[in-house]
Amino acid sequence: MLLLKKLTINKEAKISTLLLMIPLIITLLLFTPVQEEFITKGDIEPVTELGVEGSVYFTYVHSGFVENYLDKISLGIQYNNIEFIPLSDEEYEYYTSEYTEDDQYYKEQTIANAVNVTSDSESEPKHRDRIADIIYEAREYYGDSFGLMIAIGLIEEELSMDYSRNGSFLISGTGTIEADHTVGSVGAIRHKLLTAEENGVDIFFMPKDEIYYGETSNQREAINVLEKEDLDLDVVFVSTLEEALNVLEDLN
Amino acid sequence: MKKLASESIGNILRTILLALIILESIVFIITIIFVIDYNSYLPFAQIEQAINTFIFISLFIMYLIYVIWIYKVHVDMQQLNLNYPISPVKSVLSFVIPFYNLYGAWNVHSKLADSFRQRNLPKAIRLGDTIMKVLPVAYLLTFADRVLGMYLNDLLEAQEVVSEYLWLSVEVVFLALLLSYWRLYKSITEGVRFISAPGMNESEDESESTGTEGV
Repeated sequence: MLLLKKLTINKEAKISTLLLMIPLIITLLLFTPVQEEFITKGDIEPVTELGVEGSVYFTYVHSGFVENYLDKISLGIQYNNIEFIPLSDEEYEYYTSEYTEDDQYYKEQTIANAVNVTSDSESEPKHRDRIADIIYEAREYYGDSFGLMIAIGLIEEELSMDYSRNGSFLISGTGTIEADHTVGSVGAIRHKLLTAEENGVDIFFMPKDEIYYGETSNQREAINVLEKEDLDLDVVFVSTLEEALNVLEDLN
Repeated sequence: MKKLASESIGNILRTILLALIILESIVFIITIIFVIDYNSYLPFAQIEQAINTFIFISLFIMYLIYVIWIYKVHVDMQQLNLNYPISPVKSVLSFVIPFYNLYGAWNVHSKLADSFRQRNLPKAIRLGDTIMKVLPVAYLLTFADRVLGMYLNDLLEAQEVVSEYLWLSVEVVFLALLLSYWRLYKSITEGVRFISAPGMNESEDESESTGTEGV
């Protein structure tokens, strides 16, 4: 009788263990490591969000890296148009170590350039305060691709202008701004263009960089994406801040 | 003593419930660390995510086992009391039919409690009373768990900042909910075992003949 009871308990224990093995195995599979970068559509935000009194917008995308299949599945459910790019060990190592530091450096650099190239003020401390203010307001964003649009916004602020003509034009774009006023190349072109189109952007500025990078340039990639995705978007390629301003001043 | 039909599946349910309570307690402790000091929490973040995933999947299994167990409990109740008002199939339907289960689950538990209390024995009355005390708490906690879960999902989807106290509330409510399930399980199991003990069936017949049926 006692033996029978023991055997029954063992059977129940075995079934319980087997049942608990199901979630355990699924959990282990979901937590299998993967090293992939993801990019998906984001949104457009007015530069006023960064404390700049302009009418233009900057475009951001959601990106980052996944460490396991659970993250990958969760993001796949959350976002429709998500792209996963496998990372090599070296790339993954960089992403998880120095990337954040480097990213912050480039972000601060492009903000500093935007302030310096657009300000008439000679006062260094005033520049520093403005740079610090924008860096603070931009703390929720990563990357340096909003440099050009911040610079345009600062010009509007400095000259009390409204390039959107009272909201008649939705102006956005992407690209860094360098100390010599040139517009630098950025990443995630496809998803930025898709984001801009989705938000009904009228004019979208992008770096004119085919001359430097050829087939791998932002310009070439944008042309390919516009064609492939059949996007209804007016993309304007510019090499300098002044080129962008000329386009905006001539808007009708 | 004859083995009850619900005993084996009840033991399996007990193991799964216990495992869930232990794991949720670990998650609760990790959440407290999160509230107190974020940096100390970071090394446990992945473990917490893994445990939560395990719990999420296990809940489906627990629900399935619970339904089978409640079926078997009603097989036992039908054998112990031929006039027991809920059939095994009806007890299962009371749990699985959406919306109706809001009333159905309450009805199944309260009929079990009534059946225990009708024995007019202190232990049986106490077990019946416990079920009727825990039942509204379990309902309230289930409701709170759903509302908090939906609110949390909305915040996460909108990429809003989630307060650490909201995370803590979610874990407190869920742990309390599991404990209320545990209490219900224990009271029902003890109750069925108690009334199935030799000599108890006669008492059942006696109590029914005094006109307590149909409460």
